Amino acid sequence: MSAPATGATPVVGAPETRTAGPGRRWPALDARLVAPGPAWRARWVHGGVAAVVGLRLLTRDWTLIADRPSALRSHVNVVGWVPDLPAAALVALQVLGVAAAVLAIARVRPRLAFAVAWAAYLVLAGLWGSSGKVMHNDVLTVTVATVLLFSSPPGRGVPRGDLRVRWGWPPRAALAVVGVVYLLTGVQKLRHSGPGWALGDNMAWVLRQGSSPLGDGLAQALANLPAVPQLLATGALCLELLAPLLLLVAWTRPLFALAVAVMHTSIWACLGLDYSAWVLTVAAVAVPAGLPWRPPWPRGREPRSRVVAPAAPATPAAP
Amino acid sequence: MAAVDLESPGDPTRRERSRARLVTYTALSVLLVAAVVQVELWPVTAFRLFSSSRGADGAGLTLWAVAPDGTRTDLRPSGNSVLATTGHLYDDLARADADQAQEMVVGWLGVAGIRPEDVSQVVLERATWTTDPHTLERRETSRTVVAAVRP
Repeated sequence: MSAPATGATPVVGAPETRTAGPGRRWPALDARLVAPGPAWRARWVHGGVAAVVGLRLLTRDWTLIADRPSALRSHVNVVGWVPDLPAAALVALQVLGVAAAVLAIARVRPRLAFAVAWAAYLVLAGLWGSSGKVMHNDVLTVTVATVLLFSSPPGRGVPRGDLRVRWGWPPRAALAVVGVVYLLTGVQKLRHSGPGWALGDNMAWVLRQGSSPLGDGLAQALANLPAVPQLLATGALCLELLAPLLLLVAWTRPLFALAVAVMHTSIWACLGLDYSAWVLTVAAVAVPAGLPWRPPWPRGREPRSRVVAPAAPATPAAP
Repeated sequence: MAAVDLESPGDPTRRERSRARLVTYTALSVLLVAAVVQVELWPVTAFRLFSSSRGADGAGLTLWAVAPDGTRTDLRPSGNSVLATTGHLYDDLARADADQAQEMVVGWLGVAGIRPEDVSQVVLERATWTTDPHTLERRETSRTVVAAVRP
């Protein structure tokens, strides 16, 4: 199911001014989306997101779902049609998903394996969150993985430096999804609370009412420091609103991933909310897309007969 | 100059570009529409993460099991993180029909390890409060019964 490199001429596309479709409206962004990209980056993003899915599947006791009475299950989600599953079936789904994620990372039938891991993750995370509360912990990973479902990850025989449109767009589509998701989280704060969300007492009250795994002392101390809650809230809001811009530029992508890690770690430390899947997903997408050098792993076979590198493609590779 | 597409329809690169656009713009459109229309159909969501402002005043629902002697037990599930979030279904209890409400109440009693026959009724109450910013003590300002169900 993975895509071979043989038989296809490296990307030589028409100039972007001549492309049809949505490219007319957003020429620069559209040109970057469909520009060629290196195989190694597609592998890293595909494998990285598969690793996050596998880790989430592995590190949670999904059998807890079976303890929930049927009457206390909400069916208002995309897995509302899935029947209540016994613990054994939940474990079987978990094992299947983890095994598939490992195969996807190892590039053994990576497209099929990724789809199986995604499906297992979607069902289990959906059932987990069917108790009335909208659970966002796994939403970013599921959404990014959904986009990657439609991509063809490079097969084992594809050289790392192979440059094609089919390797270029999936990492960029994942970046776009991450950027828009963070932007929306920021916009919703402004929409429902206005600038007072960051500039008022909101964050101080969030800290006071939170439950920290490190004890309540830290959150209470921060809440009572002058201007600190406002600075924390403003920083978080700016990071969310600027996400698309920070992900647009190659060198700021790893910095964005770092800032996201700091923000979600501080949320965990102060409020006990686990958004580690968001941190890992952003890292899996943004770090490979921002690396200035080609990592030595994973290796691909170099072609024997010819060098597979585009000869002056009309559409240059975008970062 | 008129737009000219130099790629042939069967060109794999052209197909890949079409796929890239279809997938990416569809995904982004779904995200944007869900946020604007406020859709919550997991994993499609409006991404309202902490979007409401917090303050000293708050409100919440509490579900009580009331024994025949009047003893009240808070049924808010704890421990198991899947069960704990079922407290967010209290709103649904107030809107549920009689049969559905009874099933839900029996479910929560079972989670709490209470036999339905040991309970005269289950009461859903809405309380509002205000919190002192220094002592963090809550002072209840109102309490109303939202629903009462006989299990």
